[in-house]
Amino acid sequence: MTAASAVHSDKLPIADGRTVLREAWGILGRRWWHLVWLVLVLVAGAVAGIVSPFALGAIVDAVSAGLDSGDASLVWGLGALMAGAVIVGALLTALGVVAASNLFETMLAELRERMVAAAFALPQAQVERAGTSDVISRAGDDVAEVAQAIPSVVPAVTGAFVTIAVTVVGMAVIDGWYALALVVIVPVHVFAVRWYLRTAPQIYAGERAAMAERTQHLLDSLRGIDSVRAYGLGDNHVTGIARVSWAVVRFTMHARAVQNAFFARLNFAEFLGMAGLLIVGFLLVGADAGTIGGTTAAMLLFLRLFNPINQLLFVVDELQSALASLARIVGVITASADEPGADASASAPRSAGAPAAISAPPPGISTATDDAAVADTADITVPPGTSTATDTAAAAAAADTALRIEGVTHSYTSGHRVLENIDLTVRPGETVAIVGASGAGKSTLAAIAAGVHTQTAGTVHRPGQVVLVTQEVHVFDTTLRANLTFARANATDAEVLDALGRVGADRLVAQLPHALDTALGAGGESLTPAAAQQLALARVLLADPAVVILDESTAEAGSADADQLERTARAVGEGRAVLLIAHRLTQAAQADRVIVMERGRITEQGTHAELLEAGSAYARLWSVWAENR
Amino acid sequence: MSRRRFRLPLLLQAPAEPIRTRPLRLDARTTPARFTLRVIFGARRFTVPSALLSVVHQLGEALVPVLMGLSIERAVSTGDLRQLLLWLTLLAADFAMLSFSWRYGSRIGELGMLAVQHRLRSTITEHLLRATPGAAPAVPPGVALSLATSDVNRLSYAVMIGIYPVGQFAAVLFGGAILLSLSWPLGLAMLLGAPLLLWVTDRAGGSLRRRSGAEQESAATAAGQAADLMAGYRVIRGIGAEAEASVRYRRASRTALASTLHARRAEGTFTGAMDLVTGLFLTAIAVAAALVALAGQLGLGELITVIGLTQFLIAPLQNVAKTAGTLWASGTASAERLLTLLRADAPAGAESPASLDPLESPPTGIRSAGLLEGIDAGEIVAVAADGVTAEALLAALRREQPGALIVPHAAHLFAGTVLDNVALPLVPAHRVRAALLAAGCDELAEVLPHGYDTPVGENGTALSGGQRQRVALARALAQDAPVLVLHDPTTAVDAVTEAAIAGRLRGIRGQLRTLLITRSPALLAIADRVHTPGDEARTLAEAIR
Repeated sequence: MTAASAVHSDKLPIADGRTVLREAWGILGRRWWHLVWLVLVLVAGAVAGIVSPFALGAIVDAVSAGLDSGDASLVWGLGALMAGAVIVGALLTALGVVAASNLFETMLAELRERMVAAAFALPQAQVERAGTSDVISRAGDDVAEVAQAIPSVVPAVTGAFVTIAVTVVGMAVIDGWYALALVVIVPVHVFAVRWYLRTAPQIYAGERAAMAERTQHLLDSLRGIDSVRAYGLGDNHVTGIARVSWAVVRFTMHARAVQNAFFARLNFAEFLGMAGLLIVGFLLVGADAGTIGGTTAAMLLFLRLFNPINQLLFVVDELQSALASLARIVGVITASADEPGADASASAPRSAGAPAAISAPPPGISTATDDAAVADTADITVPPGTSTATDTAAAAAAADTALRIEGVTHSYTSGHRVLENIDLTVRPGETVAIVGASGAGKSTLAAIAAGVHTQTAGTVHRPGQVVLVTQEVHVFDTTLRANLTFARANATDAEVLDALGRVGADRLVAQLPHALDTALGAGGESLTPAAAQQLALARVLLADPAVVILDESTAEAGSADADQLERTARAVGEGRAVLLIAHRLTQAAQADRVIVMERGRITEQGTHAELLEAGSAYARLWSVWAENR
Repeated sequence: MSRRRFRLPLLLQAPAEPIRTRPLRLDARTTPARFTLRVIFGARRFTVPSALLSVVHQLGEALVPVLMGLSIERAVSTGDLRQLLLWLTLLAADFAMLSFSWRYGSRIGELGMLAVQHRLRSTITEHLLRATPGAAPAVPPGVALSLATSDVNRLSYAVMIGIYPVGQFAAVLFGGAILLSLSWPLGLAMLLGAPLLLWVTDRAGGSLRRRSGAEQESAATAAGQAADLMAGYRVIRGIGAEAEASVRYRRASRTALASTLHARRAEGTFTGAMDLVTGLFLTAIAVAAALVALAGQLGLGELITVIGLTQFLIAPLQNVAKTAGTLWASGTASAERLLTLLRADAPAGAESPASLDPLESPPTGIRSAGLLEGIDAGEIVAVAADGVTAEALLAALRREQPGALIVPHAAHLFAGTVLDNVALPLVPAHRVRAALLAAGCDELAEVLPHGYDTPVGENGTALSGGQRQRVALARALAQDAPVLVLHDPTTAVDAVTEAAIAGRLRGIRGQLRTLLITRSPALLAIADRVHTPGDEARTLAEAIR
């Protein structure tokens, strides 16, 4: 895409807390019995967990009372009870882990699938405005963030709340005063957490940003290692990396200090809790209202709380960043729901009729404006009768099967027009090449013809499926076969091989260790840019569209590869309407028609021969080119 | 947030300048284990105090159940207020000790670890980036990145072996000594039985953990594939494969989900089993202690102490070996990878890893020797070669001509603005302007939102292919390199702009020597001499003379 489209970043929406909750609840609600089961398991597990402290308290009482009686059967009985509770508790722990992950992992899977479906249903122009990296990072980084958080956050949060609740109830059962002693420490925790949440997130965010910067610096230097060496920038870059690397250290130490201070506050709460229980025990036992065993049980219960509380508070920031990621995931889902028109246009993004709903003018007038526009904007006038020999009737017949661009004007930002009143018709079987300097508006025209952007004014009629191939290629992390069947899901191996053969990739298939089953992309064989572009062209054959738009699709290859790719591109275009953004004049020379663009306007058009004859700017370019062929 | 509350935790922060640590000596005989050991002792002035404080912290933790037992016995059961105040004071002192020793011990240790990590990272990046021009990058960027981040991190974490396991071991010794002094059979049961039980469970859980690991790996693979699908967003929209892509994403997502759930099931089983074994063991100790107490050989406070202490000791017992073992294993594995990198002298000419290229034809063997020396001052010589011939020629020139500036056709742009990329250190401003004009970048000043101050994005991705190529060309032209080799500098540039660039090339190069490797007619047109691969043997021989 042109740089202009990447500049204006209207980021995709981020859902607010209530929307996230609604979406999550929507999914959980459909599995309410899972939720009920999970709560039951967790509560039962917590109850099993407090049996031992109670029994130990009873043993202490038995020992203190029965040092003389020496009755061991009670001890044995309590031992058996504890053993039983341990067995049940262990079983419930295992069940709880499984039930919690079942519920929350499934929820995440559903959310990410809905997000991806929504991202593909959004108008592409909207995604382009936000930058495709936005949606890519939401599907990648944000999903990973939540996935990573679930196994630590979910048990900590669910476990802690249930354990704390059950333990406090347990203490109240021993004596209400013990439970009250715990209430004293609640403000300490509240203050600690509030302080932490006020202080820590920006430091962690700073640390993460510093780490990202370190990675960026490293990758930038490593990817450009040839340039680093060629321009003698080694010292420069090493110093730069050392600087950002130490910046991470400073953030990490700051984060550590904050974490330490937080834990010190938790330690303080632990001390207050123990001291409070001792004092309550002292008073109760002194007043004969309680037993030593009761104090022991209460204190053992409290010791058991240290871990869950710490775990809960420890995952607070992980929970926060997971929720932030969740908000970005849900944001995409709600973005599609926000735009009622989005679904309709996206479900048939480039199919016939959708944009043509803006009624096309009568055929006769259409031809007339076509010619008028040429006369208006072109510096040279093509001799009538040579290229546009088609009569009005034939034009009318072709109108339904041709790609027609009528009076299209476009600007990304108001005031700055990238395209100015473009009229262009590409008939089936015809290849039209667009030539022009960078910034002339060629890529914007291609994007509008393909429906990536919606023009500011004018009409685009697309006679059927339109496929756009740009310089940007992506080899998917899957098999060669699956890389191609994107275009036609039910394609047979024979069809896939045929498409590969027609783009001249049979040698590639022969070189690959497992032919069509070879894994490519990130987790498999890597391909040269030229080979990747061949796959892209083979995909076009499988998609079998009415219109193909090739935007400098051979530009990334070296010149030898480009020759081959140009031949391939011609083969792919056979029988279709082809709009070709040409950066090499050989491509233009072999097209049926050449259009020269300058500053958003069409300045010359005609066949290669006509333009040469007319002695145009195109002709001057060509003479330089041809001389050295 | 007030400044006052913030002062205390800000002690012991990292200084503005990197902390210098001992250099890590490496020679031919350094094994991964020895490398890891040197890392562990790489910042002793941090690790030794940190380890001491870790011991103090663990002793403080072990004392909590002891103090609890004693205060119940001496204060709660007697009703003596002075005893209560005494034990509350002692408890407060113990908490202060364990809290502060952790607070500063862990921070000193972290700082030492980070200092060592920084030193390691600098060593690795220097090795990767400071090699001479012409030397090949021995490793692809992704691998190099993972060496400089993950492996450096993992190896530096080995510093922790000298800190936390020391404290945990001290806790086990201290707790064991107390238990033995209270009742030697119970102490023995704890000190011998617990490690044995933990070892057995760990062994038994091995297969569960392996299964969980394998499942997690396949979940990660599926998740990676799903994310990769989105990375091809534009390609999918271009071909109109939105529906198919959604179906595939769902499939990958479900595969990931199934693997994740399997992994969690294994983990759940393992956690449950550990809970079961430790729970039963603690119950047995408690019952035994109660029976001993009933027999009159253990006081009430001692009974409570035994129960509390055994409960506490399980954690350090479990962790002392596990922490050290895990850190050592991952540390030495990373040390081995880093050693391999540091020792490898990049073999020249190996820079183009065999890639699968269907368009490849066997090299036609152009002779590079003397090619550059044959160029006269101010001359532009072209070799009309492409594909493998051009690559082979470039590789040969890189090997033989370290002094020449060789610019590949897809040169990397560094993050920063257009101007940052062209105005490299020591390049005068007027030269930068001239180069930008000669490379046809004048148009960028108008098109880009902030002109030459527009960020080019990672590897120039905010620019179009043609814009990238022109900025890279401008950077090369600004250099005034005595000998400049340009390989296909304008392949992504449109014909109109290419013609303009070709016309300005001679002006900017002046009396300097230029070699073009290209088949672009516009560029060949301005060359003083053109060698074509067909008869290169003869022509080149002439050219060299």
